[in-house]
This record gives sequence, structure tokens and C-alpha cells, in this order.
Amino acid sequence: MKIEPKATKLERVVRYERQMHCCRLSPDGAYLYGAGFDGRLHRWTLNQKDRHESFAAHQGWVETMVLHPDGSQLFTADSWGQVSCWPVGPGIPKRRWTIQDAHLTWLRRVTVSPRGDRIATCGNDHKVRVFSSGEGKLIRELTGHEHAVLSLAFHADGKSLTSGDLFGNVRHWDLSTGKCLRSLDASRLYKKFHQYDQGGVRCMTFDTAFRCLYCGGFEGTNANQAQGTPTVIALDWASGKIQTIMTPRNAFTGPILDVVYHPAGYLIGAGSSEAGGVLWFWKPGQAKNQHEVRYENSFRGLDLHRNGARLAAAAFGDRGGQRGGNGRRLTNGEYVGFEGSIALYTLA
Amino acid sequence: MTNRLVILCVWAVTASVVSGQQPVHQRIDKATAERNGGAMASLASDAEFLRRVYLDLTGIIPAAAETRKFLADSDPNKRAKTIDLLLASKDFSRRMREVVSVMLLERRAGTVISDQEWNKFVEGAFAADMPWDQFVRELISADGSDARTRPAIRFFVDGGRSSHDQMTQDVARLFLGMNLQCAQCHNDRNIREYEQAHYFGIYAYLRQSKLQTDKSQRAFLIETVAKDKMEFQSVFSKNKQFTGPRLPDRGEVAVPAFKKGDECAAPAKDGFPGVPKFRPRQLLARDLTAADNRRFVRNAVNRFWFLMMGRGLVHPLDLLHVKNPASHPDLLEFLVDDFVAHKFDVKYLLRQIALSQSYQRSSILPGDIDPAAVKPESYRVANAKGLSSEQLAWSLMRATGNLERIAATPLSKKSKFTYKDYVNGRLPAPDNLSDVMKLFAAAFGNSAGSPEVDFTPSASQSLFLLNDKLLRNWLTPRDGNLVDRLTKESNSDRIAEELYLVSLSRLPDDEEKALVRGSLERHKSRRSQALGDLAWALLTSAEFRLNH
Amino acid sequence: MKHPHSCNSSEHALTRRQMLQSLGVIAGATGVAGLAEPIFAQQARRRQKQVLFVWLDGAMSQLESWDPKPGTQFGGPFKSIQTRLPGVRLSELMPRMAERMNRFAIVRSMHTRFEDHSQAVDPIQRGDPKNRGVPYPFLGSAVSKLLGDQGSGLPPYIHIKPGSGGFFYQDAGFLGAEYGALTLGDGNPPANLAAPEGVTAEIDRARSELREAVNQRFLRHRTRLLSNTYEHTFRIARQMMNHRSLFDPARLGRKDLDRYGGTEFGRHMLQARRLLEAGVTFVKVTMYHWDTHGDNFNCHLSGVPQVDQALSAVLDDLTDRGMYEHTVVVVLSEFGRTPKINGRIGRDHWPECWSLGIGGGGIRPGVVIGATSAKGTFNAGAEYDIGHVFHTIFRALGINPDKTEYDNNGQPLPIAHEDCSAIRGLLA
Repeated sequence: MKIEPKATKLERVVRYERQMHCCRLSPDGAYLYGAGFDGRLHRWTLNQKDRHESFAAHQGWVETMVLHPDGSQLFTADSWGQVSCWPVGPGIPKRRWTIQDAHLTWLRRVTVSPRGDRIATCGNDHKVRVFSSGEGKLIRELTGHEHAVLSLAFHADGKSLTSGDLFGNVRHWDLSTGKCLRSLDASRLYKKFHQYDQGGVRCMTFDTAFRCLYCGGFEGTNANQAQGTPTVIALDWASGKIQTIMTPRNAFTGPILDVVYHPAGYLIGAGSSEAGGVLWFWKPGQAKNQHEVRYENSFRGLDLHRNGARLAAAAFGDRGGQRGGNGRRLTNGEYVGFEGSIALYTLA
Repeated sequence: MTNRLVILCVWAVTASVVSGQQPVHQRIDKATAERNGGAMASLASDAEFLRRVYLDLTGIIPAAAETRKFLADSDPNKRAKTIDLLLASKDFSRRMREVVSVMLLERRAGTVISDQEWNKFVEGAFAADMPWDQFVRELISADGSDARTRPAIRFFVDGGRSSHDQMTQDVARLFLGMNLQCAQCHNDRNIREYEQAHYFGIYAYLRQSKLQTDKSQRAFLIETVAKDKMEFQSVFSKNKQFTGPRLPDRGEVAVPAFKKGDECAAPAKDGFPGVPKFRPRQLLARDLTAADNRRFVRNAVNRFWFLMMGRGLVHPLDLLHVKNPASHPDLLEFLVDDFVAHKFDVKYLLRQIALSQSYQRSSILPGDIDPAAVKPESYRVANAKGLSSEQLAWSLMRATGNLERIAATPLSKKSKFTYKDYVNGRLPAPDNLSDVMKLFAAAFGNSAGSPEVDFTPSASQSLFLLNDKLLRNWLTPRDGNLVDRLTKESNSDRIAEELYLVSLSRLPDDEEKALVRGSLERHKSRRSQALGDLAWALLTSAEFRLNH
Repeated sequence: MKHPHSCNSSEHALTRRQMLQSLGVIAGATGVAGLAEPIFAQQARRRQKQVLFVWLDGAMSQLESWDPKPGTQFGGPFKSIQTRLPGVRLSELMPRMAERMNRFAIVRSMHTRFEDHSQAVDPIQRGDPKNRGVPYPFLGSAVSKLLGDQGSGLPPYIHIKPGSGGFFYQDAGFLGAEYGALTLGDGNPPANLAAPEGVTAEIDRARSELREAVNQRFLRHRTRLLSNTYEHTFRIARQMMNHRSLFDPARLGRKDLDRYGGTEFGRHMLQARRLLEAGVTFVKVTMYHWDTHGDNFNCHLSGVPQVDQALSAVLDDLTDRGMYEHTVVVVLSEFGRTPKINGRIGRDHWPECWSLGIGGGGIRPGVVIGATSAKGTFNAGAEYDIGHVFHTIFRALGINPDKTEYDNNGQPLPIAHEDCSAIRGLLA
């Protein structure tokens, strides 16, 4: 299919009183799943006036979820280290299985292999773990990162997994042996700002042909608060070399927290800043984006529906920034936190 | 000892008998004699006097030849002659520039007026015997438009005095001897005399002043139109108060009401607003320096007295008020009248003080009295003063025989000397006057904005004297400098004589000659270094570091 | 009434003494009698009171450290962990301090008034008594002044911080420049600590003896007011030179550095320990850039463990050396961070309720003072301002703030906020 980024339209927004980190659209387009600060699994039934339900699921934050390729299962993971597998569809979802301590520290990302037989997780413990998707059994532990591992992507070859860490080291793992085949360099995404480690490979994705690995984050922060230029580093898979460094055409300060690749030939990145969120559309090989779409709140996780015509983007922040800032800001006498939303876009 | 006592008695008798139209310096001596609280020190030796008067009036120790000449001179009037000679010298204007800059700018730096412009302005004023009231008037009133007085705007615009609060406090502190810090928020609870209305009265003179730059980024201290009185409120009270421009103990200046559009004497031009008809800062310059503004005159006399005597008649210098009376109130009032009568002639005032026996007393205690019993405000014994960073730099250069070379080395246009770069080893030791002075100011001066009144030596300064390469370089034989000259001399007594003359401005006694001899014998194999070490020991001694 | 500045009053004598007591890098006062005790004197050390003051500039989040609220609305991604104190939990980012909480204390109910750095940084470190129109001394200057010369021969107030060093006289406020902080920028030693090339220890001794001899001659029959002060600076300078290795970062052992975390902050904390060991009264260590308005959790993930490790190591070392019982260790910022997590996943400034850590001599170990609400949004119960903390620290050091006041040129000033008092539960 072809899309025209300029024709991207905000189809609808679903809102929730707590911030949202990640989202997934069911293959049939009927359900929108989301999760975030409250550890619950949220489900909006889109053809029933966006009916919202939520279910007890996790503790801590849920920052990451992924759909099985067959669309029947959803894997969610929380910051306290737990991974769960859920059926996709109507009714009260019943956990298929749970891994209690997939990681003992902040679990950053869960992803699934193209064939659906494996899931992989990574975390602050410097580890990458591979589990069977059917039962959640540990199959392999990939050790070698020396820093928190923030992002993961399976390759379609069935045997390769890539992971990116805080210092911008990207590792290419052989799933059959558990060995690290090579390291790729995305260290531009890391900066030692005074005594603090800043940045890292916050997100990664392959293109549809698996020729290029896109690593997102930010560069050159000037404060201990992710105040840098949103940047995607395109790594040529064959050579491992940097192909393109992609940044926004219009000035923007803040990280890219998720990237997806659209089969029509666009890399879409989600930006987060105090001024709100942005979606950038880059043509592969081009340093500056072709188009951008602004949103009132800053973006976190993205999900591209498998038909390529819809894009969901989890967001959080307060609308209009009235409740933010320093000190005691009360709303009608109450100390109210920020809300979350998921923006659903139509791509055409 | 007997001799000293005799001199002392003669003095006391003379002082008590003479009165009336006696010279001012004798009035000074009479006043101090009346309140000495015990035996007084004898007159300073010629050497002691010479070193002191050189440091005080020219900011540098005498050259060895000058000392020799003075010591050999049998003229009974030689001290007065020397005082006049020094007051007439070029070094006097330079010394006063250094004193006045440290006192008024407190080592604040800035970029609006360059050091060179400021220095030229201040030295010019003293070289031309500009009366003190006029000098202060120019500091207060200058707006930058007149080429001659333009450098004077540095007082207000450079170094963090851009806020009206800072301006107010500094005018009060430096020209009225009133530390009005507390009075900013309320009447001073400890010093009843310092009222919040005083603070805002001065503030009202200054609040229209504003720095503005023209198209070429040249800055001017303009005044905008004053519309009404200054409103203020104590933190302890809810009542609002108002004041127009007013100096303590003086009448309030009415803020005239002009018709709208009629406020200015000259219209707006070149991006500058119109020049108002009513310019309170100009009035401040007039009112502050008025001869009948006793607070102003008292403060001036007290500060110059402090400069010479090491202790203000009123001390601390910025707490002039009824409950902190002068140690010699009548003397202060007399000197105030006399200063006014002599048209604020600083040179005259300093001369009278220098001529006094009070100034010329020795710093050696009279007999075996308890040093702790000697109060500095008794002036029984000469009060020691720490050398300022400028006095120290000049004197070290002269003593080590490097002054001529350094003074002749032009400042490279490329020089970007900073103390920070130097101490971090990024720059070689400075070799020209300007950079040497910068280095000493950073190493020995107080930080910007902190007055230099007390002697506050620090371990960092001692580390500098112990280990820094600059002094070390100066004590390495080179081009006829001190150590170079001494290495060519074989007689150890002559070496001792030269060493003591150049550094301590006096001749060594036998004990000291023996010290030099012994040291040179012990370090025969490293003679030139040993000479350097001897000089170092003298130059870092308390006797050198203090003006006593 | 005679004004304090007229002759012979006791206040006047005090001011003279004040001037003489020019400590810091400035000459210290042991009066006419000269230096009381040699450096490192065991006895002096035992009697001595010391302070390690850790300043986390920009404001560390209480929720990611001392007062975690895991699994609540504003709790963030981190878990909490059990500490050595039953029922007391810390953020999972502080496992080492959790193990040492029986030796440390927390105040969880700080409540201060300033919500901007520019407003807060100075007042919090000055203890912020009511506005007296005079700049109050920073804690380090205050303690140097109030404890006086403790005989170490070293400057009483040393500040280790990233960036530039020098002598920070501004810290001293109205106490006068001499109570300022000798600041070791990037932990580097003060300038001119090493004898110049060619000056061996022997030569140095010889030239100093010469200098002494010259001085002796001069001091006969003279008041020694200024010269004593001057000579004291030479003694301090020599002590510093003699203990050059104390200031030499290269002398820090690899093992120790690793134990302190191998970080810049860890190195500074290790240097602080060495200075305290040598007898320095007050050592301040600053770590900057805690102002995490964005990406708060990743930033704290990087920062808090550095504090956890270095603080734990210094606690162990002070304990092992028998110094912890007379050394107050304080860890604080200018305020806390908002419970609310903003759109940039950051936390903003929050003076409403925040925490500080404190322990050591005079402080009751293993206590937690105050509590915040379940969501950590406001204090639940009694709350404490910075004045209370100053009262507490002074008391722990054996200084009674009710009976001690400053004399600022005759103006009596309280040493701590007169509306506050010590936090009783914190005092041993």
C-alpha cells in the first residue's frame, strides 16, 4: 500500500485518568489495548463507542506490550519484572501464564519473534532473556551488555535478535547459540552529562526487508533531563555501519521513545517534549523528515496496525500544561496527576 | 630604654603646654597624648619612618639608595622634606589611585570602562590636586557624555552595582560611613540612628538612574523622569511610607510636578529618552558633598586617617553613628573643620597626619608592657598594617631588583592573563606590570565586593609566597637583579647590608650579619640559591609583609 | 549603654578574637599561645566534632530514594526494598543504604517555602532564619565559627565540588570572608601545594629557619596581633604541604575508589573522608544536576546508586575508624521533587514534603522522622522546616542554639531560626 503522510488524520482519542505508556490494536481492529502507570490492562472496544474496561494485571509501570503474530495473544511486561500472556478478544481476559521475575530490576521491553515461537525481554540488569511464547519458559539468557538494556528487535531470519543499551551499544545475538555475533555502534545516542548517563537506544525496529535497523533516542543533551535532539540512527544490517542519522527538520527538544516502520517506506518516530508530542515521517536514507504531525501531549509507545492504515500512539502529560510545573498546584483543592490518552491516526 | 623615656616625657610636656593656633599635626599629637592610656612608644627610627611613609604615600618601599641617603642626611627637617617630596611625586597619584580604587570599587571589575581609562582619570585627579568633594561629585554625577568625566561612571556601572539597592548601600557605606544594610527592610534595631527612611531617601536619588547603550554599544548612565516619591514599607509594619530624595539629617528634596510632556529639558534623541529637568542623581552629587554635610566629611577624614594610622578614629569605618563614637571625638571634629577649611585637600590632610608624631611613633613597645593592653585606638604605638596587594607587588619587584625590567616590558596585546589560567599552569609567570598586578590582586586582594580593611592573610597566600614560581623567578640571578648583584659580591657583611636595605629598608645589626654569614657558609656549594633563600626569608617575613 | 565597639567592652574583645580566628585558609587563632596541638593528634580528634555535608544540588527525588511509594499513583517504575529497620523501606535504588539504615536516620516530612532553585539553594544552606537583612553564613561557615579552631591545623571548612575551585568567601555571609570555604574544584588540590623545583625538604627547612630567625628579631618588643595571624597562615600552609598527599587525588587507592563507586562523586566522598580523618571540621561535597524535569527515572537510575554506594562506603569507613560517633553526616537538597510525573516523564520542584538523610554523632540511629501521605503528596503529621534541621545539627554538635548567638558588629543574631527548635526524636 501507499500512504501520503500529509494525509494523516487524527481519527479518535481515547482518554484515561492515568498516563499511558504503550498500546496495541487487535488484528481485526476491534480492540485497542493500552497500559501505563497504573499497571492495569486497558481495553477500548472501538466499535462500541470506545467502551473502556480495565483489568488488574501488573505492578509498577507497564511500559511495553506486544501482540503475537497470529493476533491471538498479547504479551505485557511491567517495571517490576513480570511478564504476562493474555488472550486477545472479548470478555474478561484470563492470564495464560505469568513469569514472575523475568528480570529482578526494571524490565524495559518485551518483543516477539516473527514466527511467534519466542518472546524476548531485557532490563536494567544488563540481561536479555528469551522465553517460549507458549508457556513462558526461559530458553536462553543473553549476557554481554554492560549497561541497562533498553530495546529489542527480532530479525526475520529466525535466528537473530538485536538489543540496544544505555551506552548505545547494539548487540546482534545468535539465538541458537546465545552468542553475541557482533556489536553495532549507536553510541551517539549516549552522553555522559557530568556524572549522569543520559540517553541510550530507547527503541529499535527493522524495516520490512530487514536490511536496516533503526535505533531511536536523543543526542547531545544539555541537562540531566533528556534535553537533546531527537535522533534515529539507521544501521545498515549487512555492514553494521551507520547509514543515516535522522533528525527532525523543525527544531525539537526531547527524546524519540518509539519507532515503527511502515511498509509503504516510512520510518515513523514518536517524540516527547514539554510542548507536546510529534510523529515524524522519514523516508529511509533521508536525514530530515518529510512530514510531522503534532499532538497535544507527548508520545510514548506506537503501534502500527497490520493493515498499515492505522497508527496508535500512547501519550501522557496534561492537556494545556495547566497542572504542571513546580510546587503546590491544586485543581479544585485536589492534587491531581496527569492523564493519559491514546491517539488513533488514519494513514492514507 | 632611658633615652626613649626621656623623649617621651619631653613630648608629653610639649603637647600639654602648647595649644591654640598650633599646627594641625601638633593638635593631633595633643589629642592622642590626652587619651593614650599609658606610656607611648618613642619616635620611630629614621629607617622605620622612611619605610612607613614611602609605603603610605607612594605605595612602595624606598629603593636602597634612597634609604642610604636618608639615613646619612643630617638635616633635622629631613622627615618633613621627605613627606613633601613624596606627596609631590608621581608615585603619590598612582598610590592614591590604588587606594581609592580598592576603597571605592572593592575590586569589582567591569567592561564599560577599561582599567586604563579609570586609572588615568583617578591619577589625573590626584595629580591635579582635585578636591575630594569634587572628585566624589564627579563619581556620582557623571553620566558618560562628557569625555573627561566619563571614566567616573565606573563607580556605579561596573561590577555588580547595577541594582539601585547596591548603589544605595554603597553610597551610604562609602561616602557617609553608614552601613544601611539592615535599614533596607526596617529601621536598624541595633543602630537606632539608621532608619529605613535614610535608605530610601538615598534610593530615591538613584532610582531614576539607568544604564543605556547607544548604537555603538557605548554605555551611559542616564536618568529617566522622576514622577513621585519613593514608597517603602517596613517588614515589621503594614504602614506605607513615602520619601523623596533625602540624605540623613538633611531636608527632603521636593519632586517637582511637571505637566505631561514638559518633564524634559532636552528631547529624546538617538534612541535615548529625553533629558529630564529634574535629575535627582545630580542633586545627590551636590547635596552629598556639601561642606556642611558632616557625615560626608567625617567619613572622608576617618578613611584617610585610617589609611595612615591603621585604625579609624571611628571603627569599623562603615559604622559612623552616635553610639559608636570616635576614639578622639574632638580631634575628628577638628579635622573635619580643617579639611573643609582647606577645601577638601587630600594631600594637605595626609601631610598633616604624616607630620604628626602620632604617625611617626615607633611600632616597638615602650618597655615591658603587656602587648594586649595596647589598644589600636590609643595610637600609643604605631599600628601595623598589612601591605595591600599593590604595595606588596611593587615592593617585591623593587626589593628583588626586577622592577625596572618588568616596568619596561610592554603588555602584549595578546595577553589574556587570568589568575585561574595561571594557577592551573596554563600560563607562564607574568612579565609585565599589568599582569603582575592582576596576579597579585587575585592572590592577595579580597574577593570582589568585599572591603579591604583588616589584614586577612590566608594559607593560599602563604602557599603562594612559599611555592609560586613568580617570586622564585624574581630571586633567580638575572640582568643585574638583586641576587645577580649579590652573587658578584664576596664580602658577607656587605651582602647582609644590601639584603636588609633593599628588603627591610634598614641596616642589619651584628646578629643579623652573623645570620647571613652563617647561612652563606653552610650553603657554600649553592651560593646563588642560598642568596635567593636569604632574600626569600626576608621578603616573606612579617617585617616585610607588614607596614609597621 | 556603651556601644559594643567602644573600647574595652567584652563584645569588642570578641570581635577582635573573631578577627584573629581567621580560619579557613585564613589564619587561625589560637591566640598568643600559638598552635594548640599538632595535626592528627589523637586526643584532639576524639574531642573533635565534625560534619560531612552532602549537597545534592538541583534536588534529588524523595520518591526515588528515602521515601518510596511503589505501586501508587505517583510511585514511578521502581520497587521498594526492605531495610534493616523493620517496616522501613527505601527505593530499590538504595540497596546499600537499606542495609545500613540501623545506623542512619531519615526525615521524611521536610516542608520548606521556596520552590525555585534561585530562592532555595542559599536559604536552605544558610538555615534561613527570619530575614535579618544580612546574609547568613552557610552551614559550613557557621559550624567553623561556632566550633572554633579544633586544633587540626587544617582549614576548618573545605568544599569539594565539580568545576572550579578557589576560596568561596561568599559562604561566610556576615561572619566575614575568613569563614568561607576552601573549595577544591574537581577535587584538585589548592594551588602551590608543592615546593618549587630544586627546593628539597632540606632546603625548605633551612629557608624556613632563616625566615623564623628574621621574624624572631622583628617580634621582640612588638605587638603580635597581625604577625601572629600571618604566621599562622604559614603554619597552615606548611601543614597542608606536609599533608600534600591528603589533597592529592592520585593518592586515592583503586580499591577504595571502587568501593565508593568508581564515580566522580564517589571520589569526592572518599576525599572528604580523608579530610575528615585529617581533622577538617566541616567537609561539604556537592553533586550537581539533580534537576530532573525530564526523564526523571532514568536520571535517578544513574544518580541515586552513586549516592547509595558512596554514602554507604563513607558510613562504613567513619564507623570503622571510630569517627562516626562524632561526625554528623547530612544529605540534602534545596527541596524535593513533585509527586506528579509530568509530560516529559520528569518531576518538578516540590518543597511541600521532602526527605533528607542524617546520621552520626549526636543523631539517634535507625529512626525515621515524619511521614508523607499514602501517595506521598503531602506530609501526614508534623513537618519540619530547614530551621529545625539547623537546630538539630547544632545540638548534635553540642552547640545550644538557645544560648549561642552571633555578634555581627554588635548586632546579636540567632544562629538558627528562632521559631524552630531541634527535632527531638532525631537527637541521641
